[in-house]
Amino acid sequence: MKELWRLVDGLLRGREAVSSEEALGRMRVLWLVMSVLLLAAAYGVFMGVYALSSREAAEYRQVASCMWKVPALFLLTLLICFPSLYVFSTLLGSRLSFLATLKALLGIVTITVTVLASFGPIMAFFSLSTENYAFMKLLNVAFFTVAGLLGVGALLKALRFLLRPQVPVIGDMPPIIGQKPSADEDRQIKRVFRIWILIYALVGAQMGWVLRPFIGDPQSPFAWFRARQANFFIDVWQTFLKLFS
Amino acid sequence: MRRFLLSIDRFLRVEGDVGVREQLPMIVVCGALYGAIMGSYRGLDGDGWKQMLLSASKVPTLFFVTFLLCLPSYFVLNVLAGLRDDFPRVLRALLSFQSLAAVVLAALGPITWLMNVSTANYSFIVLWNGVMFAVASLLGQWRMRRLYRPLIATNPRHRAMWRVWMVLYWFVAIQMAWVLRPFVGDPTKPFQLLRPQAWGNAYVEVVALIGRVWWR
Repeated sequence: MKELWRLVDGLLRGREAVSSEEALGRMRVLWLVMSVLLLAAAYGVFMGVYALSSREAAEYRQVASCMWKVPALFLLTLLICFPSLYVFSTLLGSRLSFLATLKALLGIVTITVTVLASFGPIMAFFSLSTENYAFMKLLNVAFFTVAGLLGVGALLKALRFLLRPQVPVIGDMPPIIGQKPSADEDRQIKRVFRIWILIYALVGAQMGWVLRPFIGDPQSPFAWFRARQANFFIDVWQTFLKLFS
Repeated sequence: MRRFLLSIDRFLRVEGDVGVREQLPMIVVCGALYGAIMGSYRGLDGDGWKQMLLSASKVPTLFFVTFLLCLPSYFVLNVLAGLRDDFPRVLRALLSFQSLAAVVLAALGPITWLMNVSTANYSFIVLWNGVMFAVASLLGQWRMRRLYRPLIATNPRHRAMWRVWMVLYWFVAIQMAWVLRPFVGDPTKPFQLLRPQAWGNAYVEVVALIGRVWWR
C-alpha cells in the first residue's frame, strides 16, 4: 500500500517520472496496473452513488457494475491500443523497448485515473443532491474530459523525452538533459502524438460505448450491459443526421 | 517465438536490417492473425470457424500471390534496364512492403476485434477493414520508398522502375482482392469459399457499374 502511494505520488509530482529512463526502470508493471485498478474502482464507486440516491429502491448492483467498469474501460482500452501504439511509435523512430513503452503508457493512465479519482467526492456530492440524469451524465463527461486532458499533457511531455534520439555519452560526461528538440524532431513528436491520441480516443470511445451504462438511467431497470447496437460512430452520425431532419 | 518477435522489433526499428528469410514468416503469421480476426465477425458457431480459417489463409495469399505474379515481369524489366546487379536489394525493398503491411495489420487487429464484437452493422465492418488495409498499405509504401531512396541515388533509372512496380502491383492486387472475396463474410448469407461469380474482372465490373448508373 505504501509502495503504491509512493508510486502515484511520484508520478503526480514529477511528471518526468514517465520521462526518464531510470525512473521507468524502477517502476513495476504490476504496481502500475494495481494503482490504475484501485483508483479507477474508487471513482467507479463514487459514480455509482447516483444509482443509490436517484431510485426509489437503492440499486447496489449499479455500484458494483461501475466499480469494475471504470478500471476495465481504461485497462482494456490500453490493452487493445498498445500493439498499434507500439508499432507506430517504433516506426517513427522511438528507441524505447517494448516494456518501457508499456510502462510509460501505464504511468500516463495512472495520472489520468488519479485526477479522476480526486473528482470522486465532488461526484458523490452532486449525485446525492441532484435528480437530473442528463446533468449527471454531462458532469461525468466533464470530469473524464479534464482528467483526459491532463493525461494528454503528461503524454506530450513524456513523448518529448521518449522520442529524443540517443545522445552518446562520452566518458563520464553526463548526458545533456533539457536540450530543446530541433524543429524536425518536434514535428516528428507531434506526428506520433497525433496518431496516438487518435487511436486511443477512437478505441476509448468505442470501449466506453461497449461498457454502457455507467451511471444508469433511473427510469429504466438495472442492466449490466446494453444490447449490441450499432456503434459509437454510427450513433454519433445518426444523432447528427437527426439534427437536420 | 521469442526470436520471431525480436525480429519484428528489429524490423520496425532499423530498416533493411532483416533478411528475406526472416520477413517471410512475418507475412504469413501476421497476415494470418489479422485474417483470423477479420473472419471472426460472424461468430464461431455454425460455419463461423470455417470463415475464420479461410480469411486467415486469404490474407497471406493475397500478399504472396500478388507479389509472385508481379515478380517475373518486374525482374525482366529490371534486367532490361541494366539494373540486374541491384536486384537483391530491390527484392528486399519490395518484400518489406508486404512485411510491414502485415505487421501493421496484426497490430491493428485488436482494434478490429473490438469493432467486430461491438458492431452489428456489416457494411461498417467492411468499410472499417478497408480503412485498416489502407493504413497498412500506406505505411508499407512509406517503408519501401525509404529503402528505395539509396537505390535511386545510385541510379536514377530506379525511379522509373519504382513507378512501374507501383502500377503493376496495384493493378494485380486489386484484381486479386476481388477474386478472393469475401474476406469478412456477410452473417446473413451462407458460408462460401469464394463468391460464385468470383472469376469476374474487377475493372470490367466497375466500368459496367458506371455504365449502368449512367445510361439507366
